[in-house]
Amino acid sequence: MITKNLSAYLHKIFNVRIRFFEPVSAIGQKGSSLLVVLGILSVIFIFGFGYANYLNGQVYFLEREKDYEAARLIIKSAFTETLYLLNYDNSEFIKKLQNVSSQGFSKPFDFYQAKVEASKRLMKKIFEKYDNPSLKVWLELIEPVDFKISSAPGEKFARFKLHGQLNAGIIASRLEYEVIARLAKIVHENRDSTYYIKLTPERIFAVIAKDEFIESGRYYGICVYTGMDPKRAKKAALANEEFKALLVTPNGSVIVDKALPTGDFCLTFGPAIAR
Amino acid sequence: MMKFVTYSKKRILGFSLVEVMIAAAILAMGSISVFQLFTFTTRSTRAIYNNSVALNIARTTLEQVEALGASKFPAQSASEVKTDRNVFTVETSMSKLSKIFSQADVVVKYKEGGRDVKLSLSLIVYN
Repeated sequence: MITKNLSAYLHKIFNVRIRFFEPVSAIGQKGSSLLVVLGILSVIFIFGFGYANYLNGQVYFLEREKDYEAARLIIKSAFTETLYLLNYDNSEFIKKLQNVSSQGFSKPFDFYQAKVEASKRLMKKIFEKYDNPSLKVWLELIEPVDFKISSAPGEKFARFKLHGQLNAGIIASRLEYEVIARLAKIVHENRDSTYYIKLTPERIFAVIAKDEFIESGRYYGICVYTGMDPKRAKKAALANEEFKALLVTPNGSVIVDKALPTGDFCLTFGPAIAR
Repeated sequence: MMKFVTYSKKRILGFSLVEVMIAAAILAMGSISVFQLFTFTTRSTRAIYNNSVALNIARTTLEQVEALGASKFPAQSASEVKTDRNVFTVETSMSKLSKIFSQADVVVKYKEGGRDVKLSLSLIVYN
């Protein structure tokens, strides 16, 4: 009744007539302009909103990309720190490495968990907006080579997978590197005898080609100097307190002996290979 | 007096004004959102471009520091990288953590739609 009166009223004023509740088919029209427009618009809306949503997703992931890169760099920093700490502060690790044999080893997936304090501080600073961000670095033992199998006495090799994992809010990043650890027993009385160490090309774990590397103290353990001027290298190595290594020429003659004085064992790591 | 029946016969021939107006209003609303989508797309593309460039600059700088060692770089330095669309200011700082390690921080600043955007990355490197 109301609609009928309203319809009559509108007709009187605007000379238009509306039928509110009658279906299109009942009126006998082939179609309604409103329905056609709505149909077109719904298509535009579906595709338009779909595309807008896709773009929104792209922008969202782009903003996160920066955080993922920061996370990756923190794990990389933790790897640098781990390898250094294992070379200098390694008594626990050396004990573990001494006890494993190629016959069998327990808990290979969590062989050693590194304490990476500097990297953790860096992580907390960068991901401070997230609660309890966590960083874990651990070594998984892949393959140990027994002392008896190793050709040179007092030496042991082991292949490791170095794992790094960072979780902070929605950021979860993980890296894996492969490293080779070399446990070399340098017997004090034979330190002068390079013959005993038996350096062969496949046993070279670090090749120093530049004096700058010695000056920066980047290498430790047994280092092979392949530069042009051994005298200069000797001077640089002696002057640098951080450089604690046995520096030899490729043919085995000793340039400088600043190997770790604390024990017979000297642990060195081969290059980390990104996987 | 004209009867309603005659109007309904007339109505079959064309659209009512109200129908057309409602249709036009809905179409206008739809068009506005479609045009807004174009603006959004342009803005997003620009943001993606700037962010990628800034991220690459920061990454490259840190790779250089890692390769050469922190001692080869000054404690604080700034430089500018210009592309055909934007200017990026690169600020690099080295802070010594120990005798062995340093922390390298790279901050890349640029303007994006009138506002300042800052992208920073850090890495622990040998001195």
